[in-house]
Amino acid sequence: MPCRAARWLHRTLGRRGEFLLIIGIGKTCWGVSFLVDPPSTAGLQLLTQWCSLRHWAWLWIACGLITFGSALLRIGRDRYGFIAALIPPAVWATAYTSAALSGEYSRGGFVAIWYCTSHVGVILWAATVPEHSVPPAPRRARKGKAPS
Amino acid sequence: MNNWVTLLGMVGTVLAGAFAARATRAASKATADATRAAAVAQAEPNQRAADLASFQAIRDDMQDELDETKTELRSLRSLVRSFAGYVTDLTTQMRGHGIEPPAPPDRLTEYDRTGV
Repeated sequence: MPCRAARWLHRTLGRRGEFLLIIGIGKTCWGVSFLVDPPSTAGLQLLTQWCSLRHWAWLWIACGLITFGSALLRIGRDRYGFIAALIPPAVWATAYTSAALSGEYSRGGFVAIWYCTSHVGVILWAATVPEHSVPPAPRRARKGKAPS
Repeated sequence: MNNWVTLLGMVGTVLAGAFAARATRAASKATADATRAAAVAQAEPNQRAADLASFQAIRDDMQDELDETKTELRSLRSLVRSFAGYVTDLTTQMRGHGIEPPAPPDRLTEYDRTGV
């Protein structure tokens, strides 16, 4: 029974849907964690000068839910899921870059790179993945002299 | 400084979003192509069976026509033979009555000479 459910889920969501579902859940949970118990604001002064992390948590939750919802959409229509997934890590990377450049948080540069690669980069890569693909046409043998 | 970083972050986010949208469109097209290729590959055996059936129908038609032509040819050949026998009888009868029959046409002479 669990196997059948997993197969049904895999068939319904497809490659891209699975990815969106996973990161949608992750982002929503990350946002909820800010609401439940806000972490240290070190390196996030760019954001906290406007409002507290409890408020910024809703960015993660909203984007996470859009991403989660886009998992059920057909390929092509799921683009908003990928765009929504990009926003929170891009905002966090910007804040950490700002903190690193202003010298408030020396670790910020590395955290920003982590957000840009492990979040933004992975999401951008996943956006290029088709549901199915055909292998490229085999290359024809190059004309040339046969080895003597 | 912060404003510049914020601006850069916003521009970067917009560019990343545009890339994601474009990549999604490309992925959607690739998926459609793959689905079409799979459908064509799946339909190919049926197409081949249909082609084979057409070839068989054409061959059967041509075989029927050939049989008909052969039957007609056989009938004509027997008619010509019977006619030739009749002409020979008539010629013999005319010579018996002292009448010289007219010379055969060129085509007949040629046939007698070459066999074709």
